[in-house]
Amino acid sequence: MWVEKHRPRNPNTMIGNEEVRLAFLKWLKNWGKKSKPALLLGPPGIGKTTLVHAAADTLGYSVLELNASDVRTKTKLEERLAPSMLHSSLIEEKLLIFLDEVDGIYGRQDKGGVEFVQDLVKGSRHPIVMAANVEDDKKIQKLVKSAQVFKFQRLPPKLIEMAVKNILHREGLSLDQETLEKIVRSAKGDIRAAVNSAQVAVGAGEDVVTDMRDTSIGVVDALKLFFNASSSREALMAMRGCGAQPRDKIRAIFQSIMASGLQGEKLVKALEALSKADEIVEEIGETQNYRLLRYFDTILATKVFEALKGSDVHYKEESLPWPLQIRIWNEGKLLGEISQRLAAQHHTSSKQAALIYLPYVALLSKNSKSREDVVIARLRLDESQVKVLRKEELRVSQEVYKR
Amino acid sequence: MKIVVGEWFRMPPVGTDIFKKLVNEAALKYDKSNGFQATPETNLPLVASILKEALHENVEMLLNCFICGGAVECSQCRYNDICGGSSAFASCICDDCENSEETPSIYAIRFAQIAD
Ligand SMILES: Nc1ncnc2c1ncn2[C@@H]1O[C@H](COP(=O)(O)OP(=O)(O)OP(=O)(O)O)[C@@H](O)[C@H]1O
Ligand SMILES: [Mg+2]
Repeated sequence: MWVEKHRPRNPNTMIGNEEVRLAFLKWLKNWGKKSKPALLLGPPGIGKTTLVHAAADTLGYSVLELNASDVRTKTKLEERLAPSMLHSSLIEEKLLIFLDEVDGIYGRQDKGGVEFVQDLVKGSRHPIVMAANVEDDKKIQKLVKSAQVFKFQRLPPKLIEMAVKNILHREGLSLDQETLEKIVRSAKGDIRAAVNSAQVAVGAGEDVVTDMRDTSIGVVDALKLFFNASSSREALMAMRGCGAQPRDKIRAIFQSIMASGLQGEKLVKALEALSKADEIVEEIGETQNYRLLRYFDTILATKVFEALKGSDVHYKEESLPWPLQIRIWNEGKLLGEISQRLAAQHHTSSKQAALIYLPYVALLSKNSKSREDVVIARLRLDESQVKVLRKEELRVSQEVYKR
Repeated sequence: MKIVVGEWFRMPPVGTDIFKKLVNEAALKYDKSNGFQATPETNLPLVASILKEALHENVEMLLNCFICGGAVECSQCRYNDICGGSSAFASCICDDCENSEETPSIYAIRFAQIAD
């Protein structure tokens, strides 16, 4: 992907936010044990992550990066890095600790996150950098107080145009001015969106840009990029760049996995990872905390992507050779009812629900009692329907695990 | 009235209310000895509209071209409708520089010079 390939490796070759970029470089250059941690705040796709890596690189730091999925709960955070270790002098290497997307850290389960970060920061022998999109969040506010804040703005359209043109030039490609302007306009100051759109535009002709909704690429393009990605980071870029509903992303990945004939351990792992992502979607639904969407994409790009590593899963559209299809269809009234409720919940046809969501929901429920409880509650299943669901769970899991 | 973003400027007396609005709501920076300055925090479109109303004249935002130092007139920019100078504090590039293939490299060199 171009956003990866052309990611600036040096702070000098980035665009926009000059003053803040300079200030951050200065902060890192002059860092001492008494320094406050740095907190980079600003909208998506303007180079917060890029700057931290580029600056660290040029100043000779190795980066220990923890993203939302590592640090979302205090326990996980502690697993990844014990404060005592970081405070010890055993590590001589120049190390920069980067807590990217700290706004994704705090699930509602977790109360100690902020305090933990604050502990970590106290007396750290290494510079600590955090990045987040929002500042109005209470928890981020807490961090703001104890950090040196660097506020980033959206990038000026003209500079985005310059940078996109430059990338096109380096690729030996070009776009007409009108298309280019459209891309820049719809990016709304987000250069990642612009570069992604430009890549799609040269690949698929102008049509793509014209019916491009907002700044995002469609789920099909995104998934192709996702499955072809060579690193978690690339996979994340693909998912971030796609504005599709999270459920559609899950469904498309699920279908592709099932259609690929993935088997055994790998399949189980992939589906487990996918169910993690699904839990987030549930949480978003319940809490209306849309910020978790970023975390959702991260899960897809780390857990799911890792689980699929080395297996030959590609984007597949629709109709899987799913032996359950017919059975479900023929299975009596009760399954039909469940499907209908699922359909209502997912805003799709009940056929779609029966073919795609039911097996999936059943599989998730099989793997986790708490998920099952949620499903039962949400679909308001009565006793007999629950029985059918359980039967279905068994069937689907046998089907899946015998593959 | 023209305001060069990032540079200190002065304005005719506008009264306490307007002054408060400019400084508190639009985050225009004020310093007794230097006057006013638009910074990255400043809400430029808001400054423009407050001043337009108070002074009964058009307020134009100018930026300095990051490459050549020349003026960039936001009102003449094809992206003015979506940007209005609001994302482009301190730097943008002028039309002349924009059309050169060298610009991205010069931009990087200019930045490196300041950084040193
Ligand atoms: N200032 C910039 N100059 C040039 N390219 C940039 C800049 N910012 C971002 N990019 C491009 O966009 C990609 C994504 O940027 P990055 O991941 O740093 O954004 P971010 O600000 O961290 O966004 P998010 O808030 O979504 O994490 C980079 O790989 C790079 O290709
Ligand atoms: Mg980032």
